Amino acid sequence: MKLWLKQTLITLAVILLSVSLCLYFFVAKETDGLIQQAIQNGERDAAVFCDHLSTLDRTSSTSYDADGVARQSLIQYTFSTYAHLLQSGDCSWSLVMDGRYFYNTAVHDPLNVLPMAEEIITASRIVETGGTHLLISAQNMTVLQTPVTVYRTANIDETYRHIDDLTRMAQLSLLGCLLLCGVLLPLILRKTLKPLRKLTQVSEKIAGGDYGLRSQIQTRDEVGDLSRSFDHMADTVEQKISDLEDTARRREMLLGALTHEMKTPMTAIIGFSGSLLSMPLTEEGRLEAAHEIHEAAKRTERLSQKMMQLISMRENPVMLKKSIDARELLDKVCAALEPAAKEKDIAFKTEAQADTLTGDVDLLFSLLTNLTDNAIKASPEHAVIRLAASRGRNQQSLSVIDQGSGIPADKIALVTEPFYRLDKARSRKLGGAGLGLSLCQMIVQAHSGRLDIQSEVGKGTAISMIWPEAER
Amino acid sequence: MNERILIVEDDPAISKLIDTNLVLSGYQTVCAMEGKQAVEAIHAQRFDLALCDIMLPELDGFELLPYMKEKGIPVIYVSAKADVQSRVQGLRLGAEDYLVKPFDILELLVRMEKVLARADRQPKQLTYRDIAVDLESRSVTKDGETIPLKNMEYELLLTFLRHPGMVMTREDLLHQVWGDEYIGETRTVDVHVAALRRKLDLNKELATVYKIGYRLEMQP
Repeated sequence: MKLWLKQTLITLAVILLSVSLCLYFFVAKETDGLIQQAIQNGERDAAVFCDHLSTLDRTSSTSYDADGVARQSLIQYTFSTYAHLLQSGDCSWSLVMDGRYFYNTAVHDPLNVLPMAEEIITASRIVETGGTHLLISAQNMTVLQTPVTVYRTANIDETYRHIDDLTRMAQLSLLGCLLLCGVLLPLILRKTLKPLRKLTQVSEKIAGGDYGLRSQIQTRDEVGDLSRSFDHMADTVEQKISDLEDTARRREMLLGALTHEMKTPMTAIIGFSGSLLSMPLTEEGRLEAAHEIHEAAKRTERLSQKMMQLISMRENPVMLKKSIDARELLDKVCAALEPAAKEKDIAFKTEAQADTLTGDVDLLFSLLTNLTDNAIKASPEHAVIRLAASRGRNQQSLSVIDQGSGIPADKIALVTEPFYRLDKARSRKLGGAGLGLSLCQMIVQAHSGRLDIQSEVGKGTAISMIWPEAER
Repeated sequence: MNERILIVEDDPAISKLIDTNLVLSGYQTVCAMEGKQAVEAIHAQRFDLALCDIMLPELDGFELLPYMKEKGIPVIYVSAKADVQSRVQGLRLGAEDYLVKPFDILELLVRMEKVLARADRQPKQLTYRDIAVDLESRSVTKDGETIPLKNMEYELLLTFLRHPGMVMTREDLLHQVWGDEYIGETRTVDVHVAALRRKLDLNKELATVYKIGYRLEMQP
């Protein structure tokens, strides 16, 4: 069952119950009051009638002392005179002495309905016969030493009609109230619940893959709060999903690039070994084929080494942050690359403007080796490569500056992409895999720093790693 | 066989690999390391076929195709790009075939022969000693006498005759002669080789290479 329908039914039931209880008590109290008033009126009239009748005692106190029958006749006469006078459409009088009627204009038999014991002074009863309500009021009195009972029978249909009107009005107002609530409540509830429906639609669409959708309900109530936290959740989920997709895409790209890179050495290995196996090669040709297989296998090995480094950096960047002797680091790098530099008669110049640096010594060594190796490859013979370490306020840097061929401005952003090579043919000949700068980029990221590349074609390149002293 | 082949390949090792094998198979070759060099070569000389890499510096393999077509040179792409999109693009542009790296030498040679045959640049007759094969009538004669061969025996003989001196593994032969769809044992090859030896008296020339396969000795 829908929430709005459920709420409507429950609310209607509560309203119905409370309103009908109120109306019931009101009508019951009013009815009681009206009937009590009718009874009081009846008893008062009867009392007034009795007062009139009792004047007999004063006017003829002595003359009827002895004769009971005469007394009864006088009482009957006086009663009938008064009764005749007071008789009206809805009121009639009866006189009872010694248990029998001496006067009775009522269509009814009041003596039977309301027998009066002697000790009772007044009594009333309402009887209903043939659709009319009769109020019978009785009073015992003694006149001329004779005990008499005066009955007043009045038609009180008017009072009951009044009560019926009251009841009908109460029923009508209950019905009206129900109708009004029955129409208004669903409208109000549906309007209140509308944001929830929107939220449902939005969440269904998000579940369907439309991660950019938001509910954006700007009310200040609980639904608005729900909407805001829902939107916040959607933001977080979207961010996470896009991060995951990004990682998956990068990994796929890396894998694709790797497969592609492996193909060239693999083609050489399979091709030359195939030639060795099946072709009638000369001795010289056999040696050449063996050499090519050897070279391709070494290239594959280098590639897998670099890949392993890259993957382990990416998956698990283990960092050992320590204080490093800057001069010692630069000297170590120069020593490692001395043989390669010697081939081109390249000179190293180190400038340690800082005594110590903070970072992972192995990673920084790897970074400098990669950058310097690139610099050697890009430099002409007899060139100078400068290696510099410096520290400023809360930040430190390592730079490698060469006078080599430089990087075109539009390619600077691409050089850190895995397997990107500026000059494919030359770089392969020089044994590069196109992963060096990608690795550098990761080392820089692991230090929360940035890689700054300044380059001019034909003049040279300056690459610096700039990173903060302490992790913020 | 002295068809002229242009090899367009930027990786020196692969270029040398193709070059060595083609020369050994009796082709004349010219190597170009990049697209512009290839364009210069086809303007200067006549070629029967071009083997083209796709990812080349400057002018890539796809861009080279119009120049080749202009000169009526059939092209086989030899590329590391294995995706369907590149293959379709290459073939749709008008290349004759598409070979994915890494490849087998025999496969390259067979595909080249098929393209050359389609371009009518293959000889109509093959001879080996006293054996002559007429490719059009598919008839084999030895010393002028017609030798009846079964279909697969004929295909196997052609493969050997086209690549004398080359060692062929049983798997290579199954793959090339019987095709990719054939699921059979390498014994099948042995049975057919035995039949060829018997029918054409090639016991000495069609040699078994221990643990590897077979080789038809080069003509002296």
